[in-house]
Amino acid sequence: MEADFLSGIPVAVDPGKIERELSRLWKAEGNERSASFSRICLSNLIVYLPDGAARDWGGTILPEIGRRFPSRLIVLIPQSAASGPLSASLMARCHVPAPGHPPVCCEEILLRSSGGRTEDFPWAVLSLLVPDLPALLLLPGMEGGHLIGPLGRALDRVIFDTRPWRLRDLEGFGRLFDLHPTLGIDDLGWRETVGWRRILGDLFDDPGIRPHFLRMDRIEISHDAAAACSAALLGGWLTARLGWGGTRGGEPGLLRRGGETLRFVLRGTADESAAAGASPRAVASGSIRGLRLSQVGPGKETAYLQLSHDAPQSAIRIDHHAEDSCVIPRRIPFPRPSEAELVGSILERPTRRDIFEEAVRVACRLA
Amino acid sequence: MGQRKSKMRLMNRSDHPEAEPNPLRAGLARHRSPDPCTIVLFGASGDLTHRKLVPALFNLFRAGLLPPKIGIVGFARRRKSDEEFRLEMREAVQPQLEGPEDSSEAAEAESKSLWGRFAGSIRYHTAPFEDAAGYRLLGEKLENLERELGLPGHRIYYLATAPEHFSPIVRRLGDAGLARPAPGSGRWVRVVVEKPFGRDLESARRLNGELLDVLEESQIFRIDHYLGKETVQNLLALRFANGIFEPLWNEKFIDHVQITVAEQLGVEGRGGFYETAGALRDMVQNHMLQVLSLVAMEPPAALEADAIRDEKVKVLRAVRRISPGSVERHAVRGQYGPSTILGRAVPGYTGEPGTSPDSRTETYVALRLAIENWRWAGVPFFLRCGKRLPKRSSEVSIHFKKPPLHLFDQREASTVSPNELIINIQPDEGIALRFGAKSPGPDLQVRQVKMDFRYGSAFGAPSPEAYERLLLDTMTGDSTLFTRRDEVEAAWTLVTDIIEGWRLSTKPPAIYPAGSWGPEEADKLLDAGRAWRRL
Repeated sequence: MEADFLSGIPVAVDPGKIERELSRLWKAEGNERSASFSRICLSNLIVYLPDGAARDWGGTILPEIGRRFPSRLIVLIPQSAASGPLSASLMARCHVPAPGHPPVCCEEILLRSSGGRTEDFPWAVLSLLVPDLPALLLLPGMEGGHLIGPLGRALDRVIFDTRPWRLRDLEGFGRLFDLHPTLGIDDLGWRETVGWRRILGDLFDDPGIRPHFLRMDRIEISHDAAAACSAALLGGWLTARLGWGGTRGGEPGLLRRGGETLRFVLRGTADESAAAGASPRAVASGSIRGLRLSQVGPGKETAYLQLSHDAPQSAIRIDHHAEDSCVIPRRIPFPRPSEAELVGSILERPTRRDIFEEAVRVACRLA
Repeated sequence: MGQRKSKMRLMNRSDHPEAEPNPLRAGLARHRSPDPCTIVLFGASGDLTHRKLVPALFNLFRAGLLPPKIGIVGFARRRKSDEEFRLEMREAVQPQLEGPEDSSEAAEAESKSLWGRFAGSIRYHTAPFEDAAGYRLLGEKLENLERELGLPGHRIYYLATAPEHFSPIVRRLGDAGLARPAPGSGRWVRVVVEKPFGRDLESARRLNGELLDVLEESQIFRIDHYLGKETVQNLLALRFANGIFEPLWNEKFIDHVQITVAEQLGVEGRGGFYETAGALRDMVQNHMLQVLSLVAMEPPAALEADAIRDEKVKVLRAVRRISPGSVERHAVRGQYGPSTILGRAVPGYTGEPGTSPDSRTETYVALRLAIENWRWAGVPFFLRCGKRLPKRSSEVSIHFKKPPLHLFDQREASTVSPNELIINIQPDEGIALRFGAKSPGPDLQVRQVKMDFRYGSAFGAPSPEAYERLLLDTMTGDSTLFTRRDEVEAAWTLVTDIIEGWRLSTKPPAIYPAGSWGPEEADKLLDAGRAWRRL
């Protein structure tokens, strides 16, 4: 049985004796193995996988998480068919960090409830958290928000995935910041906009382009159906960071700074409702298509900065035209991070709450 | 009217965009994306280009960290075509292309495509380093390449050559109008200078003067690859990102500090070079004094290049100079002799190719340094480095003072020793804390235990190569991890005193058997109750 554990085969255990069994299994492995291994735990990572799509996603991503961010993985799966008490299994996830180095291992605790019940999860989780390490709750599906309350102060950060959400779901998301003023709130959809934000940050540093950011009065972001929330968050971030905050007369899409008005347009390529609830795999293929910052004079556009995503070429094309300058279009590489890279980056580097919160709040108004 | 006023204000603000903070960077990773540029590698046929620079550039390219457009031009005296140079560079990155595990056809095709895209930016230029015409042609080649690849004209000249070529290359670059960007062009030119930067204070000052005749200080990036190592940078994080260490980081709580750079290898065919260098110049003047300054510096006012370097140079200036007459009390030099390691006969230093049979070149140095400031008064810093030591290991160890009351001494005096904080630089980068803990059982016995953190296992990804970090910093213009003129000269001031003392001394280097921990004389540098750490 011990040999199964380190090989990554789940070992069924009594849910009431998980800690004891873990100690025993690790100790047995340490005694049996001639070669050494390191047991690493950087955090408590609780992953809620409520449905088939989320479980598929977890099947691909959890081994990568073990590799990139070795943690005590506590995987929660509500099962509708089974009946009876909570069941548990344990397994180790190991990888060799570099040739010649001993394997690095972390542990995964899989908890399955029965009859679709999820009420038992929080209490089981609280007893399993390794003290003094951060506790993160990863919710890759549309569900799981109900776990935040019972886990309460034990949690440091909740990571959502807004990519399959409808735009109107963002409003509820905004309220989370009020409900949990000290909780770290993160989002895979927001993290996916990092590449766009970095390019915009670089362009802002360009003395030839910066003035354009400050003169623009129209922003348009086009996106695939499955990237509506990411596009809205990007728009919320950009306008908020540039000081365009309040809406004008409550009209969505109109923002105000001083006496000036900015129009924000979100343009989806298909009905976003078709994407809502899509599986994470489908979501991963949706992306922001382009972003255009324009200065509109009387009846016509007088200047623009256009960023267009060329997905097949993994590049962004940048076009800039103004009355006093015209820059030759250029392309810069824009490799899309793999899902594992995306999750790895969010685990390693928390989002700055104030920046994200600001983006969410403005995005709610824009949407 | 209000609207017009507001726009006017914004337009005026944008006249000096660099002076204004960028609101779009908040919350993003701190580093700035590098500008598209061309890197000219002088010494392109050399070992450093093959072993370190091109593999580092390729790794950055693969990780998507290079600028979107880049040109790489090898410059060397040996005649070869662009294609021949590319083939050589492909061999240099072959291990990275193969990867440790995946040998599938798809992986092979991916590697081929990756290399193809990278190789498209590589060119080669043949010319002697002293040939003025060669630099005019280089200028034309660079302009053509920049036109072809759509590069904006930012340039990095990387001097990976023997040190005698540094000054002539920079002078020729200046003569050819390549060393400074045209005024108002918005372009930048940076020059990376490898070590050794001079061989004593006078030559370092001369070299600085010659470089500064042509370049601004802000254009010069004096590289010390030790500063690119993750653990060395982590010294700053350990000290200034944690609340628990800094209050203890002074003469009240620290007994002494040891810095060790031990190499298992000998001079490995570089006897000719080593005869002109020695361990003091090769390791102490640069790597070890840089590490010392990071350990001992005051908190910088900001995490910015000059703020950090200001504090580092203050430390170097506060180190008490060792007068030539007192050098034997504060410094020990050694040279490895013949020995047998693991059943294999190993020659002594003077038996290595390229060395003189009566050479007095030191392959081992141990120093006792005193830093004369309020923080470190009375706390000795012991430095040792050497070749052909039992193992490869570099570390900093902070030895804390004993507790004021020795409660446990009477029972278990031999097992209670002061706390140590050990910062491993290589090979296993990490940090360990040694402290006393009660042994299980009815008796009150205290044993030393170790709390251990290893980079290799605590973080999922391995640490990047030092050269990757430093090349990226050069491209972004961040000189924090490069040494400034005054730092180099302050370090040489200390080292030149010792060189002079040894020159005047009749005492030859102490011979230590290859594979041992150096000469016994080094132990005598430490006062009673202190000992070199056993590594």
